[in-house]
Amino acid sequence: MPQTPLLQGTLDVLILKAMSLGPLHGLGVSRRVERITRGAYIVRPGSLFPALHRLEQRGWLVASWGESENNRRAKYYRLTAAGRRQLAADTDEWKRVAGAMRAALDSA
Amino acid sequence: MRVVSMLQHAWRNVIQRRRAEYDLDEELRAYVELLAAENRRAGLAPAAARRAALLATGGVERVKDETREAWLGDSIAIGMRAVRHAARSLARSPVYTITAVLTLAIGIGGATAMVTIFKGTLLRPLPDVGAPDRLVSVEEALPSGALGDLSYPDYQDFRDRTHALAGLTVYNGTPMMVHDPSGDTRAMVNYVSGEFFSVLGVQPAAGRLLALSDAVPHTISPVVVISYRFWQQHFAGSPSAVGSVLDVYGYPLTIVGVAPKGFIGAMNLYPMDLWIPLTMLEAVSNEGDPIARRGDGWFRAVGRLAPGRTAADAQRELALIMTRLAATYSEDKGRGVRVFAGAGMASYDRDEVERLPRLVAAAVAMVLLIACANVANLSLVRSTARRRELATRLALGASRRSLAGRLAIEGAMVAAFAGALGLGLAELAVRWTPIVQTLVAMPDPDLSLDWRVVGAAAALALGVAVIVSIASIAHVLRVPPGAVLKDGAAGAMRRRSRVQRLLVAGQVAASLVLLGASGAVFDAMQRMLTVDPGFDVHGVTYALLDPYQARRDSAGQLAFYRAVLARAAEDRDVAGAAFTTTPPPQEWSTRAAVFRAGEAPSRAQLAGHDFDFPIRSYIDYVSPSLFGVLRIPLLRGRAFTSSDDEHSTRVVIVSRRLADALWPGQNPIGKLLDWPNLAGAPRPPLLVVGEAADTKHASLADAQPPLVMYLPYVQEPMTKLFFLVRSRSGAPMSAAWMRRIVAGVAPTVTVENPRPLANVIALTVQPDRLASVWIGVFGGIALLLAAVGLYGVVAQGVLQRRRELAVRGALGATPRAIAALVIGEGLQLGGAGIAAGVFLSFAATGALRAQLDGIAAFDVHALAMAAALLAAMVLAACWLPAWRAARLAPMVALRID
Repeated sequence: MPQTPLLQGTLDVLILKAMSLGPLHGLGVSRRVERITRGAYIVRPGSLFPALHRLEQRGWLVASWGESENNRRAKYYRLTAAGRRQLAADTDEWKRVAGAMRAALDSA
Repeated sequence: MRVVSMLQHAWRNVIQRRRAEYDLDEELRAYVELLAAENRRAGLAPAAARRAALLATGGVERVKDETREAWLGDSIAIGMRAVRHAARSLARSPVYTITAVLTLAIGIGGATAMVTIFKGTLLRPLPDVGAPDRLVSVEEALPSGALGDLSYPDYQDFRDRTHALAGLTVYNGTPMMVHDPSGDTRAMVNYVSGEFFSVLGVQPAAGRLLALSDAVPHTISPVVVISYRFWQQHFAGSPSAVGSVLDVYGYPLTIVGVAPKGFIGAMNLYPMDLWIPLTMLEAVSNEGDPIARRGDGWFRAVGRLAPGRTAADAQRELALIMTRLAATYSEDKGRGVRVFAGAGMASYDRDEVERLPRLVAAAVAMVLLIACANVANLSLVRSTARRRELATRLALGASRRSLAGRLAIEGAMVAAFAGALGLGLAELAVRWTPIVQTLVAMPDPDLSLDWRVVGAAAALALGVAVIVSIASIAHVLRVPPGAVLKDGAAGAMRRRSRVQRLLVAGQVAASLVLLGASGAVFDAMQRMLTVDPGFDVHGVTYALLDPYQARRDSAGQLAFYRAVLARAAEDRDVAGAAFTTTPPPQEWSTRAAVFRAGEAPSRAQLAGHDFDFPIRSYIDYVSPSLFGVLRIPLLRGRAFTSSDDEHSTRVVIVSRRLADALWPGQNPIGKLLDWPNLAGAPRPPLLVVGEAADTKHASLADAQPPLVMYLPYVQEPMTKLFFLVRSRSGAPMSAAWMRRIVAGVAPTVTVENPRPLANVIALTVQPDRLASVWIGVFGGIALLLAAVGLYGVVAQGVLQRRRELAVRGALGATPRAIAALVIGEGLQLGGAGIAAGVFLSFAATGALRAQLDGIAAFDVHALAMAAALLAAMVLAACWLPAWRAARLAPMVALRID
């Protein structure tokens, strides 16, 4: 699948969505985003970590240290209540935009 | 919530930076490990799995960099780190840092001190007036171009016709005697027009202030307003002061109110104690009627701008009014008017207050420039010494920009320290009495540390930071790293050394100019102090006598004065006693146009145009013995005698220059002189009976001896006179003795300020003398700085040419020849600087002469001395590097890179 360039806002929504099911560490977020977009978006660490830290600074994610699959100390992120609200708002917005674009591009 | 979270993270990123970095490292490490684990599960060998993971990550360090950029407070942390690095780097070269900071601090400190002084004196608004920025000063321009005071009728016309000014008031001041039970004190009395206080926007501290109704011409309104300080001193601040009667010159005035605390009138240079309506001036003192004649400049004027109008508007409008006045009245013909923003100093006051500070400021500016050049040089030298370090950093991947940034921060830190230290030095300086005495000609300056002063220091520091940074960065941005690492001492240095040499030559030139200037000022001072002033004051005591109680009784006054002289002469210790209206240190006050008999113009032609006539003489009323007491030689004719009294022919003694002006090349004795008056019975011509030598009051601002005519004091009613006594022994008569003599004649007459005349004269030249010392001090500082700069450049030149010199040594050149080579280079540089300095000195001398008279057009002596001093300095600066170069063993030099 060709790599579609990711806008910063887009990446933020995808990360929040990826977290909605539970806490993840960096690689986990990347993999889940890959999965939920059906392979359309592969997030490179150069974009991933700045985004994670930014979202954490904004208070939408909160981090804690835990143990990873290979028994190694890793940083886990999870959604805060504010993050959940933001995800809901962003979802509504995206759906509206996507619908409008689809309608426009499908018309004759 | 979000803000709190952001703040927390910012805090963590800045203060707990190490922890944050550690965590980031851990996080990425975990990522790579997890990725490697995935790869192993996919079947790769552990080493390959790890390598693939690292590749996929794309450079852990870069990811970290990108992540850090997203961190809040990152820029602060970066800034802090840069500052710490810069501080460490500066600490590693303490000699450079301390030298640079001290040098710049002296320059910045001096400049800031001058800013404080200018702000505190020339820019000082009038204290305790309303909205001082809406006030303007109005002065009349005479046909000659000089600015002067207004006459009352002109003021009335301006006041009545102006719209640009909401109000216009006129005033002037004079000292008068105030009598109360504790004795007589001399107070400064401001005689003012009725709207004075309302134009200045002042409220009374007690009672009321003067109003328009108090100053109606030709009415008597015996009221006075006292100053707050006067109130405290004479009435202890008691409310009973208002309504009580004050005896001013024997005239009873009722105190109607007290001016607010801090209010001193409208003249910053002359704080006032009392305010009376100007219509009362003639009644109270004997100074004449100030409101009579147009063209008689009696008053200073201050106006308040109408809302929405500017000083330029007022200028245009008043100029128009003046044109009409000039066309209507012959007294005003050829006159103009000038409106200045701000009130508090007349333009002639301003010139006097500015005179010395301007000179010293010029010297300080030069020192600052020299200091900057020096530090720029030092910085160049430093970055040369660090060239290896910088080239290595460049080679390892640091961007030129980041290196330049580092150097800029170092420059900024040096400048910041220098600025802070300079500010401290400036504050100390302006509180130090010798400085205040020299440069502050105002009674109550405002030398506080305010935003303007701090701003000036900061601006200077900024300028310095830029200069120093550019000096260091220029090197970094140009040299390719490879070249430096390969090359060694030679090569890249050559380009920079041209700038350095220029800087040093400039420093030497500037030092020469400064030293030459201070030498010229010093020479002028010496000449002024040693030139024969035409009189001798050693052993003379003087005091002011003011028998104002007998003011309207001329016969009574004369009797008093004659009695005092007689009593003084009786004392065996007295060699002579005399009276005069103007003893040597006193400002010459009255000047009048005089003419050969029969050549005087009519009163109509003269009125208002006194200044246009070429021969204007000062007038001194004296007793016959004055010439003996002050030892003023009489060149021709005779002194006054007791027969030249109020009943005989009017006689005059002229000074030599006056005689020459009136009757060039002829004997003035027996000739007649006309001194026309403008009111009353015409004055009869004066018969010249003697010619006195010129007297010169010592002052650098006064090149030629004045034109003086001496008149017998008995032929003109005088209120106050200066009493001079010369002792036989040479030790001046005491103050107590003077008081005894006068008390023996009239106990009620106060003897004011009895003291030796020589002391007073010494005091008047004090500011000029101190100024020349200051300029000399700055010259010395400049010399030192230039020496350091020159040393640096020569030493570096030696470094540069080490190989060449070593080869010469190996080929047989003697150490002396090598030393000569080095010194020769230094001399070339120094010589160029000295030559440039000599040229610049011409311009500098021109500027100096505009400020101070008595400076020679080309003071060869001063310039030669300065050049010699600098040449010696150049030699001294070159000596050490030359000696070192000569001692360097060729093999050692060739091996060292």
